[in-house]
Amino acid sequence: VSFGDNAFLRRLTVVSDLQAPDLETIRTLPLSIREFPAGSVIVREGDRPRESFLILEGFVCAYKITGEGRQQIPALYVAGDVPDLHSLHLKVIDTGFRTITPARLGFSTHTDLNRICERSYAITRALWRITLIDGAVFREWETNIGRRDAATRLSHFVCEMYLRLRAVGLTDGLSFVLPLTQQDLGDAMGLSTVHVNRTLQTLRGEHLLRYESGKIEILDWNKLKVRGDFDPTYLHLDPRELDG
Amino acid sequence: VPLFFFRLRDERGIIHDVGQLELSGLRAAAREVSVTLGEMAKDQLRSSDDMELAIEVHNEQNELVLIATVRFDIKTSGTVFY
Repeated sequence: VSFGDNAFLRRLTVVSDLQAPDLETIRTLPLSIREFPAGSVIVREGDRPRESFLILEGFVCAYKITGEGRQQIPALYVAGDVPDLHSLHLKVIDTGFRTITPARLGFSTHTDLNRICERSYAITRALWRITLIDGAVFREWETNIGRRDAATRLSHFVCEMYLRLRAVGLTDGLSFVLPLTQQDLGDAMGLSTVHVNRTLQTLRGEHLLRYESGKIEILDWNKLKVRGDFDPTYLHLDPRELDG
Repeated sequence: VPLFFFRLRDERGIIHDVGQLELSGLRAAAREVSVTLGEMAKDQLRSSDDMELAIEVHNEQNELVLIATVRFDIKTSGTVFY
């Protein structure tokens, strides 16, 4: 199977100035498609992968386990993301990746990725830019978890996920599926499960959002952005995709 | 695995059901309560100099099995401008 048209290619066209020949090179890149059930480990910390994976469907998270066995989810990935693109140049993976939902992933060998990068500086630059944006998202998450209170933190997270999912066509109006358990949400936000519950109640009480059965409904986008101290610049999305 | 029900008493004394969790036992429930109260206290103290929060934990028979309270206030001497 080849790379084809997918959300990642759309992302690349938004964040780079790739021309038709380079886009065609990426489109014809061979991909090995594999299906994973929810909760599957894709890559383990310490692995030395020879391929990177593109999410075609489903949700994937990065995860780290502390010495005392507590889990932190430092990043969440959706269709169109290539979570371990950095493994192309960092030979040892420093974080694990697992599926949150059943997922369909496309694997591309590092040999193939290096080949297209060597042939085109524009492709190299575009892939570099994607990893830089991943870095920007990490910085924002660090700020969010380190310095914002729980309600602001969760509001910010919902704003981000809404825009990222909308950019790949996975929203329905102001609603979207966010199939995280409250434990996952707590692990991503650095909050206990009980605190996540209470914070979701608070945001619902403020008529900002509703979260039921893995589905988020934003009740007031503009107020949620203010509540979440949310400035989407770091996502580097198409400017036309930034309004609610 | 036992199921525990968590109720928060906020600074106005209002009780909120804040979810239920399957946990290995009372020690795990106490750990969840401690972490939660610590996080909530940190948030509240950003905007207030005093706070009192409590979490009650009930078992599946609706018996109160644990209650934890965290209280913080600042007292100054009358001679200090605050």
